[in-house]
Amino acid sequence: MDFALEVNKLCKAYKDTAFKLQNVSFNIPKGSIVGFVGKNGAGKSTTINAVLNILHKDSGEVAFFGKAMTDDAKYIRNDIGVVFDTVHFSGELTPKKLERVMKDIYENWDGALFLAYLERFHIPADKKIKTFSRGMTMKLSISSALSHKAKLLILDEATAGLDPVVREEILDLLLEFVENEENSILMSSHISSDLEKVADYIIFIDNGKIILSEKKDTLIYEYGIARMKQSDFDTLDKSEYLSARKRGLQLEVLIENKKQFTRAHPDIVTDNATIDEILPMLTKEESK
Amino acid sequence: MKGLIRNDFYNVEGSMKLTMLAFIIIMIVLGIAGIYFPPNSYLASAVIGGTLGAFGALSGTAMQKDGASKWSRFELTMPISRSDVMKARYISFILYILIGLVMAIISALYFMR
Repeated sequence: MDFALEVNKLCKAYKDTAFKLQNVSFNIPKGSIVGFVGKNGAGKSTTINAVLNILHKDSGEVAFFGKAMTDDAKYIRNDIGVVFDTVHFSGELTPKKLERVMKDIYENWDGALFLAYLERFHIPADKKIKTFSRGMTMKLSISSALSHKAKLLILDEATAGLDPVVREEILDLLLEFVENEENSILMSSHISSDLEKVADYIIFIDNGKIILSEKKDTLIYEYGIARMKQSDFDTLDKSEYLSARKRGLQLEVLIENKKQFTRAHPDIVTDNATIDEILPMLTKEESK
Repeated sequence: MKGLIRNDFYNVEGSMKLTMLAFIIIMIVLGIAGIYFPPNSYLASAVIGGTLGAFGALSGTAMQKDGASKWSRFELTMPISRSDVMKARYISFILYILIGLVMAIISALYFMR
């Protein structure tokens, strides 16, 4: 059992819209950080909610640490820490009161650790949560998720809207977390630079389908974007690239292996590809 | 599940204190008024009914606050099942009604003096 999470052919359709998750499958190896990337409305949050059983899935299997996830399997959720993008605690509570609530719910709740995080982040323990700034509520949510000996953290756009200083603090925490090989993280984010810093794997989702699943290092060091004129583009074989699109008079082409491509076409300019560049290239199909 | 009830309680703590305060004030006012006017049973039952209703409404307040903060979504990620959530709601509701009942009995005894 080397995976923290295995998702197999997850399907979920919404009755009122055309949107549906189609056969979403991916795994999270233990000890890794997996980034989840996609346009707004691509299905990131739906996938996460379906995996956590907040939304009922239509079909497919979800297993955490090898055990199937159902509403009754509540003991599994002792090992899962979740952070959503909006504050998910009642605003009337103070962190101290929250601590007492959590103590009664989580089996492995570590109150001392939680209070230590509060101190580390300068979060006032006796003020009502509704008075907190966004950064403070996020830090509170993450502190809570880290204080019950969770082995898998799931973050849904948790760093959105945070200033770079706070984001770096949080990323450092996440890296600390996976220093223990038993711990893993799944994080969906629009902030590609965060993922480029900490993720081991990146999964791209669009329109309810997984379109690419790759190691981050491969994406950064091997993938590339070649820019060329139409005449050069016409000389390419379809197998040489993943997708292409027009940018003014130029054509941009996404390639899997920069070195190979440059050997075959030494005159064409190729650049490194960032996640921000790869995503639109995978999601907007140019007629080839 | 105890944690859910506790969370519920913390949610309404503020409203509950207000309700209690209002209750005490009304009792004092009626007590003073009772010196001049004989208390009638109609007024008494209105107060008792109102007390019960006010405390029961606390449960509604709790659910509203939960909805506003997405707690109801988050609680499903914790080691509790949906039936635990339901049970906790019922237990909280019964608790608040009981508190209201105690308050109402106190006011009834008060009136009988």
